[in-house]
Amino acid sequence: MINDLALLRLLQLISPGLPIGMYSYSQGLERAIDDGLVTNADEVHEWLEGLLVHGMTQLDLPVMARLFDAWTLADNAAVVRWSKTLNACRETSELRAEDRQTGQALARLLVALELDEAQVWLRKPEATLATLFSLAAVRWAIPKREAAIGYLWSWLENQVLCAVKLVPLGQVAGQRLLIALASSLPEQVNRALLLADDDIGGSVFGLALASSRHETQYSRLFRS
Amino acid sequence: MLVESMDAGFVNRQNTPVPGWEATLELGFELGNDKTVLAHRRHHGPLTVQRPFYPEGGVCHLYLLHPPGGVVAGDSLTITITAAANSAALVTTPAAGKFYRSTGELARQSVTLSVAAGAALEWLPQETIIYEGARVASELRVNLETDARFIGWEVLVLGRPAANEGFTVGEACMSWQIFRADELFYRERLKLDAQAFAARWGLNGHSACGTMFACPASIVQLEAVQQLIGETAGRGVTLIDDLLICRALDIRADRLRGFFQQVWAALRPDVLQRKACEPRIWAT
Repeated sequence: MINDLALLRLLQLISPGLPIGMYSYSQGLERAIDDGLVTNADEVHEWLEGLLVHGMTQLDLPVMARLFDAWTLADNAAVVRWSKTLNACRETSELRAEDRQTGQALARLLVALELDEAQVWLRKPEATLATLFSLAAVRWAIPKREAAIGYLWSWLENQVLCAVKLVPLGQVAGQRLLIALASSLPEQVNRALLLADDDIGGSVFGLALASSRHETQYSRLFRS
Repeated sequence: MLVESMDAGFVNRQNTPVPGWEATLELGFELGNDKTVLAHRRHHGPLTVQRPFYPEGGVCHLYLLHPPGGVVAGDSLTITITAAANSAALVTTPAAGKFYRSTGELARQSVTLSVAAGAALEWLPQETIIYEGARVASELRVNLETDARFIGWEVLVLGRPAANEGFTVGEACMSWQIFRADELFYRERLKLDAQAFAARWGLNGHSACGTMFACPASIVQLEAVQQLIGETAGRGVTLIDDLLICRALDIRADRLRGFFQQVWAALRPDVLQRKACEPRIWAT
């Protein structure tokens, strides 16, 4: 069980109010909508479920879990290695930039919150969001499973907020999407935490293509 | 063209012994006096090459042959190509690769390309057709030393649209890794099955998908490819440091290949310092 203070720290870490600028990244969704690939709530559901099952659970989450273990063991080499692996698995320059920028932004915030180990990550090119997220989770005594659920939730909420703004959808439709997609998160976390090292890695062709195309999108609100 | 008789694969391979064929091919290119030579060649099983030829001076053009014409469950193909310092080679295939439907076992293909300092390697096989019901695990590993030059692509066709075949069963697991100076620089793992074929986040019902890599590239080449793409749907390009990656999705494989050939022709002068010189076999 997670203790009260750790739960509160987790809520802070995954809040859309966390000042790392997550709201400015759509991860290709802006272009998918612009291309007419995603036009309504059902299609948003399909898109996000694909990313969740084939991307997040195959890549981001299992790597985050390994980073969590590495921070726990103070294994710096493993922290760097898994951060580089995650970076290498980003298929476009915008997806790499997003991870680096949000990771470095979280490093800045953690330094300001007196987590000094974040200091060396301020300018490291291999900084990822998962690198710094897992550092905060470990130092704030958030258990791994709860950290994983929180990480996935904050991704999901951010994506749904993008969809609400861009498709656009009503606020209630957005909340319905969250209710529906969140139901499968526990099972996805189970899967992610059981994945062997050799099986890590999951690309989603539609995402890679949409993200490439986003780089030249004429009028855009988001940075990815 | 993708038109062919429905059971061509089974006719060709009906006498295949079980278990499948293990074929390996090793090729080593080296710079000779005035041209790149195929200095090393070893093969085992049904994988071989034609005699190299030189349509553009010192660059060695080589066609890779797989005489059975297709891969069935249990087969494994292993291709290892090394381009030594300052050599220049272009490897392609005279026909589409084919993976036939499987009753359960995987068919495997593993390609390792190593490019030394100052060398240039082009890996430009024709498309790979994954028949409905095929089960494929395919790996491509590219090792680039500092100052290595590389252009490569992989074009996949799921099912045979010309034979009204969809892709409701079967799967292809594709893995691409690029190492630079022994460090992992890029990794992509794609699982293409019925769901990924149909889904918006996958191929959205398009039977042909392609990924092309070129290195080293800069913003100049990125912009050139972006111009080529213009407003065309199903095309995208990105630049990660000096690795350019172009992706495409199409309902027609020939159109996708045509697009990749255009991109290749646009990139080659800058990436390899050579004018485009299309292998003749592409025109047939």
